[in-house]
Amino acid sequence: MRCLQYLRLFMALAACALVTTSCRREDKEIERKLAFDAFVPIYNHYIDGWLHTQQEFTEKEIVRVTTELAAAQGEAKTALEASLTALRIDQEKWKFRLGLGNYLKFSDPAEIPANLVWENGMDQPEVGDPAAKKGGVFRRYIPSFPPTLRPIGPNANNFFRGDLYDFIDIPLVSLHPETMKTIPGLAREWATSNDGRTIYFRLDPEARYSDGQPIKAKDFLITIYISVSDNIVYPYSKQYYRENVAQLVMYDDMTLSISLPEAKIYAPFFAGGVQPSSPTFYSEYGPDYAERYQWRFPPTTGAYEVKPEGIVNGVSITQTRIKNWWAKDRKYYQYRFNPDKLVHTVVRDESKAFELFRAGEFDTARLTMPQSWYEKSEIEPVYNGYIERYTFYKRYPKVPRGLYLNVAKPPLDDRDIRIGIQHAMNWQKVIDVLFRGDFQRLNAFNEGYITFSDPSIIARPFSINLARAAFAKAGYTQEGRDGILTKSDGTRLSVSMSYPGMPMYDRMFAVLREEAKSCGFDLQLDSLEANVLYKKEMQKQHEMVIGSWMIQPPVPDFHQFLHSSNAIDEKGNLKPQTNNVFSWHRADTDALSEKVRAATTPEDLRDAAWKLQHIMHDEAIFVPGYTVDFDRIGSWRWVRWPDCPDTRFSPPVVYEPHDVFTFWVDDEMKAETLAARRSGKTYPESTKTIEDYRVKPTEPAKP
Amino acid sequence: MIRLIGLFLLVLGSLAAAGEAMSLAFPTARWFFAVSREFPWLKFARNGTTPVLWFGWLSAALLVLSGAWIIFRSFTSEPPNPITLRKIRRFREIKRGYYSFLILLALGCLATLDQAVVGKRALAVHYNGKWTYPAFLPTDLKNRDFGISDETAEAPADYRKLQQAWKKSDANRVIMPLIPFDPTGDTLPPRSRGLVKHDGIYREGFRGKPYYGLGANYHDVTDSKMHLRFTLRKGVFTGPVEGWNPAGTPVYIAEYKEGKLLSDRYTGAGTKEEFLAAKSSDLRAVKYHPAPPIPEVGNWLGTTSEGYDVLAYLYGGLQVNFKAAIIYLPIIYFIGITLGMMMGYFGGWFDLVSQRMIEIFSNMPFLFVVIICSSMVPMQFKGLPVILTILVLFGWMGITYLMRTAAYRDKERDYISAAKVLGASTPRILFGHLLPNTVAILVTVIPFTMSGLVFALTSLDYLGFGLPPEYATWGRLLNDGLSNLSAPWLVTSTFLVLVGLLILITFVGEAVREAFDPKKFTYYR
Repeated sequence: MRCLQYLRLFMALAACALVTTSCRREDKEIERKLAFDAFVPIYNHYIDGWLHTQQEFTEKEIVRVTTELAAAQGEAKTALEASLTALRIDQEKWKFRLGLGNYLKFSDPAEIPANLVWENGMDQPEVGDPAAKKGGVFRRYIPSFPPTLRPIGPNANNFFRGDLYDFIDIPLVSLHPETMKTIPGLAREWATSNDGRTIYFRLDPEARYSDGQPIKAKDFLITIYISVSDNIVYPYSKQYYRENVAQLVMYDDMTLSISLPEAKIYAPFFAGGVQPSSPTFYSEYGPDYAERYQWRFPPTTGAYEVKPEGIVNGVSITQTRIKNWWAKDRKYYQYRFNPDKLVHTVVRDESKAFELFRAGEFDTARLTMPQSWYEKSEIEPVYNGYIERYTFYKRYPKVPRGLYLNVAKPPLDDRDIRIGIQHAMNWQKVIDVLFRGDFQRLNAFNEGYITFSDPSIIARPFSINLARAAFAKAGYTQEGRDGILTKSDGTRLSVSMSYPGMPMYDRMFAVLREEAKSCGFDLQLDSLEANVLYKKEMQKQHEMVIGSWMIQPPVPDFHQFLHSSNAIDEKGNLKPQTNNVFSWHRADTDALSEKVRAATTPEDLRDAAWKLQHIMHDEAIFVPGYTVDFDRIGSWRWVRWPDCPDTRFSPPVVYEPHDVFTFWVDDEMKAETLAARRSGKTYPESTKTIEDYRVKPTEPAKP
Repeated sequence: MIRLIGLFLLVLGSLAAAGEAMSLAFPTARWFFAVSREFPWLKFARNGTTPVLWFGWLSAALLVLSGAWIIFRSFTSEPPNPITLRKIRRFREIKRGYYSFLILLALGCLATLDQAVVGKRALAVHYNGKWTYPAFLPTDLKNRDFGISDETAEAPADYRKLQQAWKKSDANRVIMPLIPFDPTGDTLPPRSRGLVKHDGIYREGFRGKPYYGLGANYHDVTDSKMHLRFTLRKGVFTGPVEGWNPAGTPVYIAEYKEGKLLSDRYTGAGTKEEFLAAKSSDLRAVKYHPAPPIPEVGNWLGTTSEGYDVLAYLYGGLQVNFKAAIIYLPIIYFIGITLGMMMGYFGGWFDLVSQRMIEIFSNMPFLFVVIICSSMVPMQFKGLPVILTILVLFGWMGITYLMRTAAYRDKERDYISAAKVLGASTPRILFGHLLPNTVAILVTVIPFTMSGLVFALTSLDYLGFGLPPEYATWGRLLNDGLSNLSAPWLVTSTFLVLVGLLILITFVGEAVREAFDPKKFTYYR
């Protein structure tokens, strides 16, 4: 007993000691400050070393490939030649980057070349409607509470990021959402160097953070520090800045330049993606950054900030419009960001969220899916004109949603089989039965990049005869008891189709399977849990897989899907963990996809992209699925959308009309509508279609 | 009764064998060979030769032999135990249970009729003076076999379309099954229902309310090829109108307000007037899937959101349930009875070890095992066998305990001692003496095991871990209905059928328990 008491006493003492010492130790060890000045030489040194290693590696590879090339014959020779070209491009890139000097550099205004042509992009049409009124509260729902508010670091790339930062923050320069020309943002003027790789920016002298501090050129360099220092565990941003930015130079408080490793089209836009970070806000930056800044909203360059009282953990997030926002009278921003408050409330169940919208608790709802557009919105508030419905045709690149064929897996290595499969997939029936004929057939991979997509490519239609003819060409001539074609050696024509197990996909593939059977093709359904599917896909163990890889405008990308460096390793084995789920590798596609990446003129880019689209179509490695070129929105009458010559409803190049914040909330109309609703007064029903930006649909090919 | 069962088995077995030999697919009887063909381990296959379907032949032979033996025994064996006869008489007297039993039996017979009642293949086709019976052929006939030479010539024949096309011809005829749809894998085009125009207002039916929703004129009603699609409010055109040419290209857009045309635009070939005047059906209410019950197009209970007929789907689900029960019940009862009797009869170490084993099994979280299995098993092996294996793995424990107690109690009885003294072997004592004397306990739990099975299958499918989508399952239909509450016909019909079946089984169970209650016939001394 005595012994036990002693033990207790000892434990208590030990605990006290632990608490006190740990406090003191923490103060000593964790240093929270903006150690930017100390970081610059260290990081410059690191990048220099990294570039040298890369250069050495590339040079070694060039030597190896050149020796191999001397002995190579035929197909292997062309492949080696293509990789040699790619290596030469790399070599030149490393040379250029090493020639630049320090990665983060402080220079003198005198260093700015004198012959630059400065642009200000003020000749583009305005965005939004001059009739827009400021004020009001806009209420939306979010499916879950975001895991963090930080713009940088682990989990920062979550679903809510767009609403907090990407759609709100004003970048150095951005693209006009209709004309896709560069327009000013934080930078009042910009200029491109003669080699096209370096962009010089002159900041807007009035640009301010939401805390009133002016924005300085150094703040952009600080962002690099915040994103890549050892205080943060987030390999993605480290890799991004290392590989996609060649240099940041500060000339004075108002001038900076950003260099890209390669010259490319839309260079100012790509360079202008770096955001500034307020040095006062990050004064407590340290090893515990991720936790310490988890729920702090940084001073923003945009129109909305999140105040501490706007965060109700697990329930809602409220964004408040900044009074006297610096850009409130700037040409491209004056009619945007209109509501005083944006309230995002968590509603985990989609159908419940719709009911709340119906009750008037949320202001708008997306009704693009046919079921919500037809049955679900056949409701009183719509009949009575309280809720107005819009169909808005946009001009955004089409998500390449379709079937990705792994050509490394037989029988998909046979082009005839792939062509047969194209003809055996009855997407039209899927569209007619599941999507009520509202959606369209996708025609090609990377369709919809206006000039960079070839409109002449038409997806192969469902055709029993053409499919059977193609299968017969591949040797599948006999028909088994179950109606499936077989080769003379008894091999059945059967390919597995992997997809995430969701009711929508179950239905879709049930239709495709049923129709494929009439072509003598057995589509084996392999419904998997999403993570298992992703693993299988990344291991390249799938045969066919459904995918919809999102690509951002303005330029298409083929490199990650078609380049051989993403398909096979040196030994010729399939390379895991890359996006080349086709396992496609060929010398000419390598060269072309490099060209798309490094094109400096729209013509070059278009030529290469069109050629690649044709190769993909001819080789039939991608079965285009369905697409939709409109958004359907239901919004209560008090939410107004632009309707003026410059902007009809919304600028056309948007993923979703809410993203550009051109709508506004009319408080008077709201009071009026609510009163009408109480008294039973009705308005005429309003269902509008906005087709001003519609790209003419192509006629389906005659089979 | 016994003789009937024997006859049934005999007929089933011989139909299976005859069907295989003559290349005919008899309802249900085809199943043994179909299964044998489907699974590589149920057949011998040597390269180049036609595989030997041993499973099919073996089961056909077993069925014929056991049927014949049962019939033979029914003539030669001594008259049944009078107590058993009394029990059966008592069961018949409990009307509720007895009628439930008869209904179940009828349902079972209905389920075995298979493609003769429900299916998209015609029972009989009279074409060019010749009769064919597509539903009973092992392979699909093609459209070209019936003189269709368009794009779909190579596709399996669409008998519903043929029937439509031959409606007016006297020479050719198609006789479809009662429900001319397959339970799954038979996606129907969107449905529609005729609208009635009265006083310029469109209504669904003469006494219906003015129609709100979409209405369309069709180029082709069965294929759902639309000509013009209108939006109707209070039975008149209000809102956007879209038009398609017969190839399905959108060519026309218009706007109506309270029955009056506001604006329109035509972009196709020819003139607008020609397009609008083109021949098409009367205005019909557009009913996308899930469509409500529309008897005029044959969907008596509506369609599911996959576009399958609900009635056919329910029938498919019933078949799956019966099939599962026929496989599942004998297996778990065989394992449970054998192990349970051994535990009770031998006792001691064997009993202790088995009990611990059962405890381990019953503490394993069943649902987790199912989830893990369903994500690990490759797709081509998924199906009824896997699910049943898992269910069997976790289903035999309860019976073991019942049998164990019964064996414990009875092994001290005089008749066991007598058998021992006479020198009977242990298996003979267990199965020849002990089992018949404890059968009453088992008979009373069989119905409840079956309702448990139906319930388990349904709930697994509801959660999405059950059978793959090729199987029609009530659970998935229930799930579909709950996510489409605006389509009440899904939930109500599934719920009624499920509850109905469970109630029938439970009534039978109660009646059996009552009839076999030992207190009525035996006395403990």
